[in-house]
Amino acid sequence: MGFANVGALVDAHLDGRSWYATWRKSPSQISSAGVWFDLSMSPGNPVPQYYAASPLVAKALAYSTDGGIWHGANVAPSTKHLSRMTAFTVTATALPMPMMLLDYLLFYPFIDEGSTDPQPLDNTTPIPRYPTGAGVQMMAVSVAGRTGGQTFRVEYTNSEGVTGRLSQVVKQTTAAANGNLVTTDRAVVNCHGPFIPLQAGDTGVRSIDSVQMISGVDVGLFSLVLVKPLAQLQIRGIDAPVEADYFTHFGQLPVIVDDAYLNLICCPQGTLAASAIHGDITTVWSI
Amino acid sequence: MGFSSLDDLINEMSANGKMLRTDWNKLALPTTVQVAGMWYDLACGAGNPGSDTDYGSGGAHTNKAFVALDDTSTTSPGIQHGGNVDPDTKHILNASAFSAAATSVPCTLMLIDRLGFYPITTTTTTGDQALDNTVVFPTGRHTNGKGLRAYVVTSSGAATTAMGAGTPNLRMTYTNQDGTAGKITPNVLPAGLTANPKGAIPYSGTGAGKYGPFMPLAAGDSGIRSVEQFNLSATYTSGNLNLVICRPLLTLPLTTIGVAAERDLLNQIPSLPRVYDGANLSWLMYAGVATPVNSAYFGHLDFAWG
Repeated sequence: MGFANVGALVDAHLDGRSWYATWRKSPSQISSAGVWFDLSMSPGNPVPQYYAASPLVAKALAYSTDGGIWHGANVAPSTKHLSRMTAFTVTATALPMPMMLLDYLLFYPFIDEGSTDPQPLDNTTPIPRYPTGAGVQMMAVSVAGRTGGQTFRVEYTNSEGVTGRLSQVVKQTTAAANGNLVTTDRAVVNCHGPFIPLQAGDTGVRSIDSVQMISGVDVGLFSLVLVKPLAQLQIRGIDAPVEADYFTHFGQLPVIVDDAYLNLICCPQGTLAASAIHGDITTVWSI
Repeated sequence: MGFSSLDDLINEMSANGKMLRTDWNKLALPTTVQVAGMWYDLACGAGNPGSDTDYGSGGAHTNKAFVALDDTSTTSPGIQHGGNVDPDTKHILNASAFSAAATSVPCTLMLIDRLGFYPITTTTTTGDQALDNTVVFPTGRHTNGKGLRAYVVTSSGAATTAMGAGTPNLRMTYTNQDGTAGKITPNVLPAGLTANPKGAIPYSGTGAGKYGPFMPLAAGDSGIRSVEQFNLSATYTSGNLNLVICRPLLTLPLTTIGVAAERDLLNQIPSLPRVYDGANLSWLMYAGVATPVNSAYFGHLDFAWG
């Protein structure tokens, strides 16, 4: 379902078919300028998670089992949408800072950077939401630091079910903090945005089948995470909250699937350590 | 009713005088520094309107029996909004809040209409406790409970008593907006804070089972008609809790000391939240920083009706 018109959306709010919840992340990691960072690994509310599971074996994430930002209970057969989001901080060090709200779907823990052999991944557990993988992206999160500068690529099944797809070869940041997205760094050539670039023509990822270090080995570990990007905003300064109404300002109402594990990534312009970031989300659902 | 157009709104305000500005001033809680990340009920703080002395054992109400609140209450006072206007409907046009007190921001304020509360003084009792709904939720301020929310706050009237030792899970059994009884707070259950101070919402903050500010509802539910049972999984040793029923109206994030957070609810966020006749208006507060006791917050609300 969804909303047939603006009136239906307004009625949903008036009828209480909405939920407001606050979040607060207070990272302790010394992150770097221009390196995207995974706030799901930081203290605060929701409680952090650390991608701790059996190495190379897919592990699904859901609110009911793992937490994340609370967005209200399940509403099927209705559909739930992100109506508003707010974020603010009073610490300037990391600003201006883009942020992205993600539905974390599944992760492959502890990819070993110490081998150039292909490392097959166990997909016994399938992707729990967005079953075709449409719009699903991959991000590589550091869980043990490295020297950096090495390259890797992944082989995946795309959202059409085609296997053997190869990502672009991506280079790792030299920044060492756990929680960094290792393929991002504004100062390193061939680093990219938060998500690993897909093979030409692909628009989503259903599963990751293997990963291989290309240019050499390193001492670190990272986890590969399948995520569905939902919304973004930017904190520009410490003197005002950023408030996004996704219908009024962007003409969209991102869908939040039942039991989604919601959390945030951000791209600070300095260290996040000791920067408490506060915010809220408001969801709304149809009849 | 309501406003059929901007012309109608302007006419009601300018020609018919159907408008009111109310200034308010509330202090942060009087006993304990507010903790970053937790939610607080500013009704327990001093100021204008005055502090709530009705909660818990303060009002000599019957334990677990619903107490209805309105804008005429003297022991649970709300922000005045101009009295009853039926058959017109009243709406909030603008809201503001600011503070000049050190480390009083960042924070987020939420304006609510408190319909009433269940005082719960039996906080050493574990398991389901039946609540008394002889007094029903105030009629006219909700339609079958749609949009109503529940939160729990520690307070024993004018006393500054905190909860005793304990970290129980909190759960309620309620009738939802469709009249379905037996609905239960879903997992993961809200987890109470030990020695939760007066005015604090004990399951807010950081950690597993922490929510803010409202008790989660079961899947698909969007409101509450009544609450039949309240459950503590373990003793809280001492102290009084209150299960408050409210309707959230608006939020105001504050980031900067000395700068007003201002909300235009006609142009900025076109919603014109309705204030029902009898509404008991009060503030909840999310503390973004350790907030000293009695930190002062000020602001105003603009109302119009037609």
